[in-house]
Amino acid sequence: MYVGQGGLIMTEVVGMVFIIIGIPFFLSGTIGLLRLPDIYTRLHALTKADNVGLGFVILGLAIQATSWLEVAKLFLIWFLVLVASATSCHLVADAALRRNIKPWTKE
Amino acid sequence: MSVPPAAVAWRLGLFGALWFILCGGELGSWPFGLPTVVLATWVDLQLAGNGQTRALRPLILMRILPFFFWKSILGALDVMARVLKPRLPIDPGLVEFPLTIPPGGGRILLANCITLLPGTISARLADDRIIVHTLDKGLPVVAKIQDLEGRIASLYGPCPAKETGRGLP
Repeated sequence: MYVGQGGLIMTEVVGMVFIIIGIPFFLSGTIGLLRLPDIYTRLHALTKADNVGLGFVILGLAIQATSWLEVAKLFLIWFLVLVASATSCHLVADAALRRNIKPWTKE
Repeated sequence: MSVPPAAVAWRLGLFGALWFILCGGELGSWPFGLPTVVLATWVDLQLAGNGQTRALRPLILMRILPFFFWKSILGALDVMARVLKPRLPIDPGLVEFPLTIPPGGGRILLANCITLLPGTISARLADDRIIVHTLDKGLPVVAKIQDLEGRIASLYGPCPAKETGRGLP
């Protein structure tokens, strides 16, 4: 915990709570990568869970930020990662289909 | 082809704001920033066909943004619940969806939003259809994409004359 000259600062605590909320999302993205059976299902875990995990981490850091410019930069990073991850997810899935990689199916 | 002044103005404003955020408001950065902003505006206008494409409606975008955020969180929770269960309850497969939304930015936005939706990722965007991979064939995938397509279509202004009559329902 941050105990500065002013003691425990409220925004530090609230920010840290959001960052901690983000951790299980990253964790489940990684568990999904390890447990899911094929390239397509793994993409689900990586794009969805990690995006939301990053969202909570960014939110926590934004609450702790000291200037509005810093907040704007953090949200810009989030937006760019969101677009890049959705786009690369699509491109990886598209490339897998082109190589005729059959999606894993139940039975 | 004439360029609408509004198309230039909002691009200059947007790229200027981006530079301001990136450089932390540093005054000394503008001798590089100003030419960069103008160049970015020019390049974007070239790519967007001189501002003749349909513009996004910012107010409607603001109104449906919470919907996207909420769906995105639901999508992450859905993945989390599935991968943490010992039985790994998934029934994946491919679903094909015929698109009614006209080609352009709207389709790309739709494909990216499908990836955020619970249980679906977009795998291929070709001709007038999109191939979606779903984690669970039991989900109402087609109905959910139809709903999303309607919301995204509402983000854009009315169709230019050349794009009407494409057999929209």
